[in-house]
Amino acid sequence: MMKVDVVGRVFVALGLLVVLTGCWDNRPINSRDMVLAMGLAPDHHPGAFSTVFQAPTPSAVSAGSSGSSSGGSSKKDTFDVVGSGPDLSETFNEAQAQVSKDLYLGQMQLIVLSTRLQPMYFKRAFDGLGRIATLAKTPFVIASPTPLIKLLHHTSPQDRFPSLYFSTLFSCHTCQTDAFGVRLWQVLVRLATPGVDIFLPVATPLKDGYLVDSVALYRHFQYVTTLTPRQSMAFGILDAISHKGSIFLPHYNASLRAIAGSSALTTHLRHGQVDATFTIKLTSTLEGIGSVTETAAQIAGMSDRASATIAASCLNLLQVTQKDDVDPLGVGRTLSWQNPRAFDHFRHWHQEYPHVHMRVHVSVTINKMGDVK
Amino acid sequence: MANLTDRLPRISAVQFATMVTAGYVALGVFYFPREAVTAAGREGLWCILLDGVVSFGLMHLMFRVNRIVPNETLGSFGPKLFGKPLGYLIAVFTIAYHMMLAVSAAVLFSFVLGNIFLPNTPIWAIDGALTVVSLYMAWGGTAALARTLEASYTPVAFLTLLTGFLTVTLIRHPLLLLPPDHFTVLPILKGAFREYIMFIGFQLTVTLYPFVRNEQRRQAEHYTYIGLAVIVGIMLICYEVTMSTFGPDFLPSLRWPIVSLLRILALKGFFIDKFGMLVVALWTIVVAAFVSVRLWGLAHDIAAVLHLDGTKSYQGSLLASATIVVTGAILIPNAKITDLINENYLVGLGLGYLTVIPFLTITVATFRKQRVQELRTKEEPPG
Repeated sequence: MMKVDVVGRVFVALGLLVVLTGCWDNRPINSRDMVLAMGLAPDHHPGAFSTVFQAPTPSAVSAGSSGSSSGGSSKKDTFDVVGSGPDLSETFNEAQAQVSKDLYLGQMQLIVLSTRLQPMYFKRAFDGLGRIATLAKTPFVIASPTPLIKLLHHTSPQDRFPSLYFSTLFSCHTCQTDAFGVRLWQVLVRLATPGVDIFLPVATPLKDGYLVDSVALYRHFQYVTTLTPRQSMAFGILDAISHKGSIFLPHYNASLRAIAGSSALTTHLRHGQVDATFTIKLTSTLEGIGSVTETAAQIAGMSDRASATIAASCLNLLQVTQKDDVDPLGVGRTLSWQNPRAFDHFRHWHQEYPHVHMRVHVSVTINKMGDVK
Repeated sequence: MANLTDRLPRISAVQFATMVTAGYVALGVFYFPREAVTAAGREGLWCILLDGVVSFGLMHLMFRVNRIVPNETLGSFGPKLFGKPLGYLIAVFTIAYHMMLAVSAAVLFSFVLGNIFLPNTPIWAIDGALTVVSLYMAWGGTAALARTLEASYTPVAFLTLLTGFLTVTLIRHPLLLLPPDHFTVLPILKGAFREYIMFIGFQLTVTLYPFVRNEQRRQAEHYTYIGLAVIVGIMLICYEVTMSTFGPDFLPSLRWPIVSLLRILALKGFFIDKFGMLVVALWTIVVAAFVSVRLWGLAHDIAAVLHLDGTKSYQGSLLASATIVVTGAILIPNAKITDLINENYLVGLGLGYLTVIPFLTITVATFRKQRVQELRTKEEPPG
């Protein structure tokens, strides 16, 4: 009897070992096409959009797992399949029909959005992405005015796949002038939150890599504009994501770099008028000053001048966003959190946003001055 | 007269607290804090605190019920105290309710695992495996189950707490960490009611209490209160982090907010990048613990109603209960139906049970002191 009990327990344990490890779903990696990047673009067919699915070739996967590099090889590291249709599942099915393996989206690292994509398809695609359960909503999302196939085919000597390049870039905050990286879940959060619009980093291919120094602004799902690099730096400061910003002060023939710090937004409603105040505290490194020895007065003067210049450029950017009627810094969102009843009075925040009275207070502290006195 | 301490397999105070704590949380944690935020927005914080306070009160009342006849389960002394019709009605309700909780928890977690990790595996297979694990945990009886939970549930709960601290790195809006400065009663009450699914299940004490060593019963109650305080603390941390990461507008649209939070948690430099996913997978132990204590409770309540005795009848009841749990789970086609069952039935019935049973038992016991005294002094047959 004892023996039967032991045998029974052993069989139960073995059975559970098989089932609990998920062997049922076990699928070798080489029987899957792991989609690493996805591009969403307008389609020439009416009522449809195109989705580009980019996956590594089997040779690239095996080279990656064995640690060898394909540098100098003429073989392609990735391949693309394109599907078109009115929603994501249709485009996916069309793409799946073009490959021999399971097109798997669970490992996706990058989503590239054409700035020309119509809002309706942007919404549909992101509604679909939000419901893919195997996808952890952590891929980075970027916008591009460049045709997506061109962008996704572009290679960089720094990383083999575009997806790897961008995930490396955006995962490292201090590797960027401004940490513009936006993950899918952050886009979904912004889309669901009233009083804030989305922004996406814009990538443009260069000869040896990509240029990412500006952000695209959207009003809900509608692309509105792309900020200039200077405006994008001001945006980074206002959103407290600036890490390596710099400013040249002609009066002192000096420059400040590594501008970074905090930004606090407060909102108030006074007599029906919304006031928004950004209080920004920055630190910076003194660099390239013309005189051999800096004085305390010079440093104080440079701090004041830099504070005033940055405040002016931030205010200018805010006015640009008000003119374009986009609220990427979430003034409405902050109002709704700080004063929900006041926010509820505004039926359409976008009608109110251009009339918000903006204030920017900037204080720049020069806390590092290098080795040369 | 048999030695009182020999009559039942005895568990320690810590084991009692672990089993009771394992008997709730697992079902509600997946919805947390969606229901509170959906009903009350940022005031959902008050819902969690209110639920915690209500749970302390109801737990206190439950312990008072346990102390009326401390050596017998409610299923056993109920018919003798209330009379057979009402006593058996309560016992049958307890059995049916435990069954529904077990079905709901098993199928809910199966949907979570199926969605994230095992999209091609049928839900019944995941549910079956989970139930068999729970059955195996409960198979050895009270003391064996208590020891298993001590060794498995507690480390996972601690790991979850640790992960809760790690998720602080995900916070995007520190402004939302501040408690809201307004207080609207009805939405808070509504949110607290819906969110109470988190604490449903500690009525297990009506079955478990007689198994605690006599001299450790008060201590067991204190440890259970501490367990509840820790759970409320963890929930408050999770609430704050989830709220300040996703915000009050996106949170209600998430099916399983805490799972979503853990899925976006990555530890750079650690050898497991998706650390949060590991924690979700390890929650299998938490859910298996929840189902196993339910099966254990079911087996004892069935034995009390049918006057069964002995290990074989205990294991037979366990097997029958586990079969019903798997069958019940197969009948639930998707996660939406689980939501509806939980929202529309389990919260209301559970809160009703936790409120009505103590008041009824304490009131009847007050008027039938002689009967209570007889039950307390009656010699319990050796177990």
